[in-house]
Amino acid sequence: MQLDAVVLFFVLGLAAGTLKVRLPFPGGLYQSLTLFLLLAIGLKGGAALAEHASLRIVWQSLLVVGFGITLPLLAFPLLRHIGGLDKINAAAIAAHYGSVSVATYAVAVAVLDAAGIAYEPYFPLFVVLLEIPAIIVGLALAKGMSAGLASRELAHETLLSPGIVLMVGGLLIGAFSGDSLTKIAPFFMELFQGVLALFLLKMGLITTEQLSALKQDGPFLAAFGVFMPLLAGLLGALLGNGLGLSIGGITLLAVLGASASYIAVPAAMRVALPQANATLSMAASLGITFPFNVLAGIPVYLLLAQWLHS
Amino acid sequence: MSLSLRQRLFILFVSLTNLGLAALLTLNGHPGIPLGVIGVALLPLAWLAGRTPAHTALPQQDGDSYAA
Repeated sequence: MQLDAVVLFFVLGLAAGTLKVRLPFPGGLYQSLTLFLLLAIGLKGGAALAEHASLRIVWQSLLVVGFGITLPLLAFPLLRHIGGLDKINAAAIAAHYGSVSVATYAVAVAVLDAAGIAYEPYFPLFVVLLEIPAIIVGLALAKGMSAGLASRELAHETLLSPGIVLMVGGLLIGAFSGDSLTKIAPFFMELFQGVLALFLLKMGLITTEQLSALKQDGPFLAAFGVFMPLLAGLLGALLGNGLGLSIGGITLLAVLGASASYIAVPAAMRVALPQANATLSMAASLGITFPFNVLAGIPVYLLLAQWLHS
Repeated sequence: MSLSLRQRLFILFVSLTNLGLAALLTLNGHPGIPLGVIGVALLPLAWLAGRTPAHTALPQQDGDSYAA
């Protein structure tokens, strides 16, 4: 049996965290790895976008945004009526599950690359597009339709969060730099897998911290953190198939649907819904959904994509 | 139907879905063990639901310290 090397780094982090091994992992290194990954994904997508720009991508993007709006609307009633959560916490968690995790996306790309499965190279555009709508829907669910992005601080946190700025910046640099991109390609493209492996080692450690919080926060959230990626992954795969994407593309759209955010959404929710308990959403998205997708979900979405495509 | 019963049924449903998917994958020659393990791990949670508070008043944390 062969397992992906990048995923095994995550397992190593989980094991080290569970055994309470004190791994010296400086916070600054973690921030640097994050910055590298966001920029590298943006650059790759921008270069591909410049090469493949077409009207087809525009209507695909509109449907992908519609998908991002739908997901929190599905999560919210589950959290309210089965989870018994109050409106604010249910809306905050629903927003996390409507948005995306760049780390999960990066793992899926690594798995597809390792398996030699092609995918639409402009996918980073969809990653950026899916970050934002869920935040607005989450706010509307919590405060009513008039909430929107009325607050200047909230609009700033949502539209200009570091993750979005780095990815959009990377997209634009990749799209407009032409052949000069080859000068920085050895750093950003060839080191990508190694950086991702180190990043996932740290994510494994963080996941064990979040799991301990979930012990106190209820079995429902654990089940929700497994159910929501399966449901959203299925819907993403069906949408990808409907859009006529390749097997890799269907898999990636399923992964984007299945993943839960921990960049843009927590920052926006801290401003917009300060009364929401951030531990609940972080424990579910980082403690349950992220490891579920990395260890079990991605292979299932790939098989589903292959089955739909055939 | 009480909240704890709804939660128990939901957790049971998610657990059985995972076990069903695991069986389907295994029968078709794919690795179904991870989903099977998750399905089994969820089963005792169905029993625990309603016995522990739905959520606690833990201090809020800055989520974006875990960026990406």
